[in-house]
Formats: sequence, C-alpha cells, structure tokens
Amino acid sequence: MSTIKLETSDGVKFTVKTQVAKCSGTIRTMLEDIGINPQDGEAIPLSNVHSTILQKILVWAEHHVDDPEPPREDADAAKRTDDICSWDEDFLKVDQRTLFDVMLAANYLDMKQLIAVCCKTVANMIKGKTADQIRRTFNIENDFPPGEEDKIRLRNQFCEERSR
Amino acid sequence: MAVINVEFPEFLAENPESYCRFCCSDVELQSIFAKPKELCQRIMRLVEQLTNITLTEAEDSPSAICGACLRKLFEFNQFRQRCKMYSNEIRKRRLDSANNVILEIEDTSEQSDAEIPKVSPVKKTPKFEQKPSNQAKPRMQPKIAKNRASLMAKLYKSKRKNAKCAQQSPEEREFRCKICRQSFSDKESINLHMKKHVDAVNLKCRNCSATSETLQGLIQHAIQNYILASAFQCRRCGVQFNDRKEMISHEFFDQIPQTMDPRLIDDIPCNGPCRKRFRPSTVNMDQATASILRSSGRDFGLRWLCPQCRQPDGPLRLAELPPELWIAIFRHLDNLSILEVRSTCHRWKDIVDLNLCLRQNFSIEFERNFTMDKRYYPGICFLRLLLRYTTLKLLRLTHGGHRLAQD
Repeated sequence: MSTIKLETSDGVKFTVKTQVAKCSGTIRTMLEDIGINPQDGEAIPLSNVHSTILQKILVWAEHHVDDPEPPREDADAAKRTDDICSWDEDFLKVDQRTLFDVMLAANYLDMKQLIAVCCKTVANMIKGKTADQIRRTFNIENDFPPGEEDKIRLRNQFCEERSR
Repeated sequence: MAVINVEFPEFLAENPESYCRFCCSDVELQSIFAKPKELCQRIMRLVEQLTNITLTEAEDSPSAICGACLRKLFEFNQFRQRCKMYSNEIRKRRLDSANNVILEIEDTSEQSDAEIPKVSPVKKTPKFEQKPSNQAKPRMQPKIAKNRASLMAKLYKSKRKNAKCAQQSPEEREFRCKICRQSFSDKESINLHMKKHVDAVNLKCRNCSATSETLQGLIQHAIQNYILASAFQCRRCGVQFNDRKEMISHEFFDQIPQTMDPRLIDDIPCNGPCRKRFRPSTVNMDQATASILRSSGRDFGLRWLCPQCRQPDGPLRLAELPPELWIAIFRHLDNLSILEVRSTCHRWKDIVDLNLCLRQNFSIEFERNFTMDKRYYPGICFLRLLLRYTTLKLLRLTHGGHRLAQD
C-alpha cells in the first residue's frame, strides 16, 4: 500500500496511506490532476495546518476512509443536524478553539464530510439560543451600537417562517 | 305594519351610561343628565314631544344618548318646524296676502321656538333668509353655523336618499353597523362607514404606529421603511444614501450629494465591529489596495479590518472562520435561529443578509396574506411599485459591470 508524506506548518512530517490522504479534496487534486508523484519521498507541504490538528483530522479520515460517497444533498437534508454518528460526536467533543481549527483545516483540505459534521455540531450549539446566549457561547462582543439591536429585532418580526 | 325586531345587546345590565338610551349604540355617547341644565331640559322636551317618552331625572337619571339619535332628534325637530312653516305659509298664501306671509313665517318660527326654549347655541340657527314672496315656492336657506354645516349637508343628503328609497319596504331602510351599532339611513353610507372600521383594524403597520388609508399606502410604507431602508447603498463603494434618487444619480454620474461629507467616499470601511471609516494613509495602506477594497471588496468577500479590530489577543476571534464556513453552518439552522444569529453581531448580520440562500427562507408578510419573498411578484399589488422595484433591480445588476450574488 502506497504512502505519502505530509508536512505541517510546524515542520512535523506525517506518513499517511494514500487512500486516507485522498479523503482530502486538495490532496487528491494534487496527486491526480497536478501529478505530484508521492514516491519521490518529497513531503506535501500543508502550510495552513498545525500538526495537532492534522493528527486529529487523520484520525477522522482513517475512521471514515471506507465511507461511501455522500448522496447529493438536497435542501431538506441540509437542515438536519441530528444525523451525526456517535463516533463523530465523541470525536468533536473538544474545546471551541480546536473545533474551529479543525473546521478551518478541513476547509483548506477540502474535506466536505468533515466540514458538514463540524457545521452541524456548531449549528447545534447555536440552535434554540437567543442572541445573547449565542454571544456568550462563542464569546462574541455585541458590536451593535445601542438601539440598533432593537431595530433589527423589530425588523425580524417582519420575517416570519414561510408556511409550508 | 311591519314588525320590527328589536335586538338588545348583552351589555344592557352594565353601566346605564355605556349605551344609548334610545338605540343601544355605544358611539358618541353623551350623558343626558350630566349636561348643562338647559340643554338637558331641551333634550327631554324634544324626546317627549317627538317620541312620547317621558324622561324624568328621578327615574332615568344616569342615561346616555348617542350622537346619531341626538342628531335624529334635532333633524326631526327641524323637519317638524319646517312642515309647520310650509303648511302655515301655504295656508296664508291661499288667503292671499303677500306681506303678511313673511310676518306669519316669523311668527310661526317664533312660536315653535317658544315651545322649545331657545337655550343651546345650536338652536339659534334656524334663521331663514326672507326672500321676496313672489317666489313660486319659498326656499329655505338656513344660515348655519360652521359646525352645523356638515350636519345640514348630511341632513339634506339623507333626505334626498330617503326620498329615493321611500317606496321600498320599511325593513330595508334600517341599516345598523354590526361593530359599533350605529344606525344609518341607507346602504351607501353604511358601506362607507364599514370601510372606516376595516381600515382602522387592518391597515396598520405591525412594526410602527403608521396607518394608511389604503393597502397600497401600507405596502409602500413597509417597502420604504423596512425593505429599502437598508438598500440605498452603492454596491460598488458601500456608501449609503438617504434615498433612491441620490443612489441612482451616484450610480449613473458618480455624484455624491452635497449634504454628504466627500471625505467619506475616499475612506475605506472597516468590516470589524467598530464600523468606522479610515483614510488609507492613516492605516498605512497603499492606494491600489484601497481602491480594490472600495470598488469590489464587499462583492468578492474581501473584508478589511482596522488595526483595532484585528487585535490578535482576543480569546477567539470569530473573524478567523471564513464567511463560507459560517454560511455552511447557518444553513443548518432553522429560520428562528437565523433571525437570532442576525441580531448577534455585525459580521453575522452581514453574512446572513448578503446570502440569498439563507435569506430565501424569510418572507416579509403583510396583512391580508400579501407576502414579499423571493417569489413575490409586485404586479399583484400595483403596477407603479412593480416599475420602481424592477428599475431598482436592473440598476443594481448593471452597476459595477458584474452580476451581484444577491440579485
């Protein structure tokens, strides 16, 4: 089984099975379309990813390496957030910093499945909360000038859920 | 003789001053006995003379009369006086004495006034212009006080209408408003009256206290104040304008209204929480970068943060996640949560507002099931708005030379 080497931003080199590495759309494109030859022993530089995060992502990729291609999602399926498998749920039980770093790295590596799972996790954190609770959860500063938030809330009243 | 069904509303048992003594209506109520004594006596006298109902202060003391009944009383009293006057005059005329007629008219009017003591200022009005009596028929031309003008106009109008429908059956002549129980003499006036109720109830903006006479007016109000209020912004340079006219003149001719500070145009907006504008020179930015940020920054998702907003020491800067990831997250949310997200911070509000995919699930709803969402077709409301809306959209599309995501 062929392996390739990946080099993270802090200089750590990982040796990964090609099949696992191909979970990443970015790496797959590099290998297949651009034609980088992994047998050369040269590591693929991933300058945006830290080694701790890549390690985590590789664990996920190894677990999901045999997953079938996801069905093309339609609008209704995108709304669901309760279909995270329990393994992923445990995997993403990390602090926010790591979660967002994983998301950023997954975005850079173009791993759609992982992004979707992370998005669902974050969405679950937002769901059902008021703006104030959301701010506290994500440590966001309320940067609206006084009065503007009320204005937005007033306008929000105009927006009602479309009847189905 | 037709049988008249009398309906009694349920509130009869309550406060006797909360309904009209004579028709149970509860509009324009005036207490009978709380009035100045002279007026009170006058009303009692009129009621007794015209309807044979005797009101005494001891038995009926807290009672109220509605404006419609009061007007009817006065009208009827006037009608009675006029009948007397005409018939007297005709009788005299038959006796053929031209000069006497005028005197007699004066006499009769004084008599009728004597019957009902001249007390209220309203009562002074029936002064008739005395025309030479060689007229074929003496015309009554009352010189009336201003506040009675409308009353008299109404009186004449309703008389004319009554004359028209005089041949109809008496049941058809009774029209009563189901909401306020005011009675009307004909269908037209009750229709007009019902419109007043409908308008007052429905055509009120839900967000503010604005009301409108017509549905179109309300829609226009909502569009101007709640939809387009945030839309008068040049998509190329992000400058906000007060109204659409200014924006169009800016888009066509690069004109900036003189009321605006021209320096604002050169400055670059910070997309961070501070929302201030900065001169490129003060933040060490070269002109080329500034012009890119000014011209197409927003459309390409380029967001510049001022040094203060970019402080790295924050515990977790949400700016680190690119907008597309936030969009991917927000797509999993239901609409209520999205609305909460929208009111969380500037950045999230921008992300939601600029993304049609997130916004398409909102709709703006007016009364009477008019909704303004992606499928909204303005022609169903009125054509003028359609023209305004499409021209606005077209201008936006052509402006800047590239298609905008939002449209």
